[in-house]
Amino acid sequence: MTSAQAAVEVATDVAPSPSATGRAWHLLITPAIIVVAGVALVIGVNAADPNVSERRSLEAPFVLKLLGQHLNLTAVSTVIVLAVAIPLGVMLTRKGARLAAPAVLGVANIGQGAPAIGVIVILAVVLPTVAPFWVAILALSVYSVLPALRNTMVGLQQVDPALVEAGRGIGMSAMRTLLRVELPLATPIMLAGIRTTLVLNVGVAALASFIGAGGLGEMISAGVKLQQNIVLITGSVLIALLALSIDWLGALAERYLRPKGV
Amino acid sequence: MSFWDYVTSRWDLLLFETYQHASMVFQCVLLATVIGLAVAVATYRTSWLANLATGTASVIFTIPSFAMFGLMIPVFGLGVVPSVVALTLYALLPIIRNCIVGLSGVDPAMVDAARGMGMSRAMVLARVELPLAWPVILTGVRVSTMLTMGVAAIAAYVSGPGLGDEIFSGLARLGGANALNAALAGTLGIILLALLFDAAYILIGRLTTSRGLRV
Amino acid sequence: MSDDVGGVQIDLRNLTKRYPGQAKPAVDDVTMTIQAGEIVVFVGPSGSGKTTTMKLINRLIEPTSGEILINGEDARKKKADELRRHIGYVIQAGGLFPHMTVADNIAIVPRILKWDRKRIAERVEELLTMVGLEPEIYTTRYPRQLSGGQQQRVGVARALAADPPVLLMDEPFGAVDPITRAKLQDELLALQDELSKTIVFVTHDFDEAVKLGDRIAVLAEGSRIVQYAEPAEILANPADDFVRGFIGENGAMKLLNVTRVADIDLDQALTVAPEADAAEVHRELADRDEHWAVVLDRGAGRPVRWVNREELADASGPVEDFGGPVDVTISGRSTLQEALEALLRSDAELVPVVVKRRYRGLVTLNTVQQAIASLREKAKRR
Repeated sequence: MTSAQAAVEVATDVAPSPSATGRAWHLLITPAIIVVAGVALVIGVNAADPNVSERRSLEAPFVLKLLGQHLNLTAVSTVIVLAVAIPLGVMLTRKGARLAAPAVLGVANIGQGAPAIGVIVILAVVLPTVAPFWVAILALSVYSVLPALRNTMVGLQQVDPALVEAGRGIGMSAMRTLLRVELPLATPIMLAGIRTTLVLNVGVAALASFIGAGGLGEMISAGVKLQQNIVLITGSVLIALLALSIDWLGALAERYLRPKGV
Repeated sequence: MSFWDYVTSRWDLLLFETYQHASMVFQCVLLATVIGLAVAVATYRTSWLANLATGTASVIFTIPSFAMFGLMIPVFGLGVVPSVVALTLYALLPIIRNCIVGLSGVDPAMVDAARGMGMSRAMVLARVELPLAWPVILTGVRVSTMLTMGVAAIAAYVSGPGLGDEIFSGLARLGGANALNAALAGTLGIILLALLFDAAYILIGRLTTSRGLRV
Repeated sequence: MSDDVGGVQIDLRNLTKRYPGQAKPAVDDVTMTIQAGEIVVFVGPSGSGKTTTMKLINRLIEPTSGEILINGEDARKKKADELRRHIGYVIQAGGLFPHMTVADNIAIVPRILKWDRKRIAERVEELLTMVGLEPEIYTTRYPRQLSGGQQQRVGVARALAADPPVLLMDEPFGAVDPITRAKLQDELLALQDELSKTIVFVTHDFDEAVKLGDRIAVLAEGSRIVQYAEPAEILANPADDFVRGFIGENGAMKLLNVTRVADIDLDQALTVAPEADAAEVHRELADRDEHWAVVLDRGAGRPVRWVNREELADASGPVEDFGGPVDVTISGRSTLQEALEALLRSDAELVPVVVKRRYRGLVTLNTVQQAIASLREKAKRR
């Protein structure tokens, strides 16, 4: 595989838009979609005239509780993933571990093909005594650590070796070079990676309801089980809007948090 | 029952589910490739159209798979149709993006030379642009396949076909016998399929990429 | 061997290209005639519209108004793709398609024109040989396996594939090193001697223009033709400061390279027939106070022997029994530079100039020096 292909492959998973103009477009259009879809949902739900049992599932306090659980799952797992992936990624791109890097990247590639629901169910079976919340957190972390690791590594690897050499050449220590040269230059790709991890975790957290860990996925399950389409649609749309909102926030962060000049 | 016993005792069923899973993913990715290529070919020369196509696909892609399947149920009910629609939509983004990136990444001098020799637009596309963009396009299809492979497990929830059935039956028997075996069989089966497909893509890449483009 | 078609005349009439939203036209009312079989070089700074003008000819860029006549036929009335299949096109670095072999690259237009396989294979072989690449080695290679110069040769072969009467070349040698470039230029000239295509060549390198062009069109912004003339004329009489600036330093030295010996004032010596009486010749030389006489052969007028006054003193009989043979002559088509080199290399004080094998006069160091002086004088006066 050529480096150009590798770059495109990474770009495909990481950056949401191919160009700067595309990104700007994305930044404006996403909130518009979110607002329009949100308003349409509210109007639709009211117009559908839900029955008593559906109404109970759509009450604001209940939905907010699920949303809170969902955000909690997403946030905690993302923090854990980053705490593992970034140091590990740094370690795996040091000289001593360079041989292991391609293997890890290969496994990460295949890991995309692993089913998230499978990971959740297996962990739930294996850890019957652990609280569902923590099982879900573990599953989410295991599932999204590989892509995050890969983004960190790719971000660091695409730093021009000449710059690293230049850093060492003017007498910076390896640690200083890492902190002052490599990590800042890798920031754009790493930010994109964090964003991907967050969005991925929002999605996988929707599956946490299957093992009783709550989250907005519960609305989908309940909707399917009780044949309440209105609940099912509300749950699905809310999850979609949540993912889009977080993706949008991530895009903003990517745009404004990247080091100037990079 | 050990995992091995479980697999051998249900070998025929597992094989069938694996086949269904592979076949569904293959067909959805094929469909997405046809659609994605058509969209890319129609839009890559106009940058705002290309951005619109990629942006739309990326919004779709951002919608979590479970929510996507959920949204399909009221429209298509349960079964194969909602699974195929959801998976195809999901598979679109990597393909559309790589097709557009690949096609617009072709050196303008190549197109200039081709036009200058009297090739029609269609000839330029078929003989110059697509072959040159092919490695990038194929990479998109490959990424798309990997992603679709895992997501397809959720199809079982809307009564779609495939190895997701194993995982969900494991879930249903949570705490009971064979719960782990079923979940493991489904998960490992899907990972195995992903490996096989990946190997197939490497082979296809070798066979279909001009020797002149290999580095 | 297919019959190579010679070049055809191209007429551009009031050709204008205007891009929407731009105040000035990129090509502004260009009218020019490109003679059949000539290499015409468009030279000018970047942004002068030289490439745009060239691309108007094969309609890679459609003109806003004006006419293009190729061999008297209106190019705008044909289908653009059809038109281009009969106009060779060479771009920088050859523009070879990296995913196709050398043979496939060359065969593109013949395949579009639906030649049969055998004819295509033969043509590919013939063209590769013509551009100096061994077919056995190169047909199955891919462009990335070739050097820059080889790629460029294949680019030229590809453009010649369907034997078009017209060749458009857009800075084709811009991406190769100077030594290779000089070689490719020589090869192009040699090829042109054989093929006599009409070639429009775009470059920003004035030296390249001087070397290759039968005629040079110096273009300024909007593709305005500042001067359209033979290289020597442009060097000797630059139309204005713009052209002078483009010629750069050493204009007179460049002039040596483009001025033909036949075009300068040559020295004349006494010419005699082989059977002339030696004593008679001696007397005549003494009368004219000259030292050398040239013996021309009967009929052909070719210089055959030198005789000098000292050898002929007290001599008798035919003059052809005296002196020594002429072993160095120089063609009237040679440049002054070449004449200078011949003089310095041969040790002779004078070298006879022949045009179509007939004696025309003599070149001495002094002749060359005077020619340089008068050319400089001419250039200064302007």
